[in-house]
Amino acid sequence: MIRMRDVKKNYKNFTLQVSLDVPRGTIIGLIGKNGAGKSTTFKALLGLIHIDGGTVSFNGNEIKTGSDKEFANIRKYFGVALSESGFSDMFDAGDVKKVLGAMFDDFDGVKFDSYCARFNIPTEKKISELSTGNRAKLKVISTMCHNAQLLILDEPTAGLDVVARDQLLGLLREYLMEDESRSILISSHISTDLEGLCDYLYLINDGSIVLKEDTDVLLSEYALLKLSEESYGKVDKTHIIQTKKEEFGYACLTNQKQYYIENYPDIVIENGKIDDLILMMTEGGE
Amino acid sequence: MKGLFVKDFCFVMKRKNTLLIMVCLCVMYMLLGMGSFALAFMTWMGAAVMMSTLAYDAMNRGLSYLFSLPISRREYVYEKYLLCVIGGTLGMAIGLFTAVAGSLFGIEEIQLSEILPIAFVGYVFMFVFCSIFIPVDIKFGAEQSRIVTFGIMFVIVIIGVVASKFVSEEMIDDAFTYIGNLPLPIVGLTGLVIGAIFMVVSAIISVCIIEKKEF
Repeated sequence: MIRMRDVKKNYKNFTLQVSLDVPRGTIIGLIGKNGAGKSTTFKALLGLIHIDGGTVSFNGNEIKTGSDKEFANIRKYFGVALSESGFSDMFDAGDVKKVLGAMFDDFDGVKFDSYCARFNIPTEKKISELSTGNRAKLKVISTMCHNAQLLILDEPTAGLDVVARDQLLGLLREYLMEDESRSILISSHISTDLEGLCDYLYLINDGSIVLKEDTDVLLSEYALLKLSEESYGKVDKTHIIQTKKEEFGYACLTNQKQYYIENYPDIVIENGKIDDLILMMTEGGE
Repeated sequence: MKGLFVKDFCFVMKRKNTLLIMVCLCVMYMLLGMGSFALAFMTWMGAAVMMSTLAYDAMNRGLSYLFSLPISRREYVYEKYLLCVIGGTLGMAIGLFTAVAGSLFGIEEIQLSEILPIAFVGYVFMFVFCSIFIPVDIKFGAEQSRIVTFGIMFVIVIIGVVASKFVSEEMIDDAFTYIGNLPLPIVGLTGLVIGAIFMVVSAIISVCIIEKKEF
């Protein structure tokens, strides 16, 4: 559905250079520490910034770089929730419904009302007066009522408690189940959210994609080896992706967990977690 | 563009009190025998209220979200100009209505032949006002544009002072007399054309500014 190829954006102290695919019917997670380039990637995809190179394609059609009109045309197929931006705080959910109803031909006001009722979002209370959870829910609900083919969600669960996060993630799964050709591109720094939701994960660091992996593979085949100085010297390093010096010796990230379980039964092997992955890929060295 | 109009209508409706105060001021000016001023005031304020939606859009990085919706930057700019013209026109209509009502109730005797040219001049100046300040607002944002506005006002005053050294009052009177002697439709049409030219040039500049911006 979406294909970003070598999309490049130069800033004074930062360069974004990413390639990313969002196939139909998939949930893609974009992970990385703060300032890694997640939001910039979304902005490049939405045409909010002018890219310096590369291409963005939607459903096989390349969007002309710098053509705001072409970007505006594809945005009608998107549902977007940005982390630091949204409707004016002066608006209430009723205003949001009116505006989105006028923006999108397929907007379903009844669905919007039912979501608001389901999540107890008061329709006549200003957004500024809503709780953090309700604000976040309203943002996500606003993306889901015009039959969007792709939801682009930048940190939709940031600042939410576990119950609110669970409700939101459930809503996203529901949205995909309604129509399996829909896709979601989501970023979050809460790894457990993405572990249970995404089909594929992209790890971005310093503006570049440093890892792309199937979530199931990541959780089943990636592992953290905790090695003393002595065992580090002995293990086969062929399948070690990243190494980090620790107090106890070395932490090594591998994508061949089974190999080390079978050949080095004495070493400590921890199952792969996204947080470990981020830490190792961003803080570790070769 | 429909969505943009609905959004701005929602903004304006959030400022019902401001609108009410404007109408009250208009009535007050009329009661004080300043019907002509009220008319120009309402025209400008109508446009200014609509222009303030530019600042609301930009609040809390709102433009990033706005341009993630299916609207182009060009559409956004055109909508703002249309909105300001609509605001100015509505303001003028309210001002005229108040003036006529005041006249009917005998508060201030007003001749339509006198007040219509004033309304028209105010209307044309509203075009010029929007043409200057919309691109400034888009370029500099709500906060900085205030400083730039003061700068522009200062430049206009300086130009006025310098021009007054070269242009005598007689020359101005002659110019007004000359314009006054021209057929009204020609003056009106010329004024509208000048206003429209200002707006078109300004809109082109605004589009160039916003298309270069990143959100």
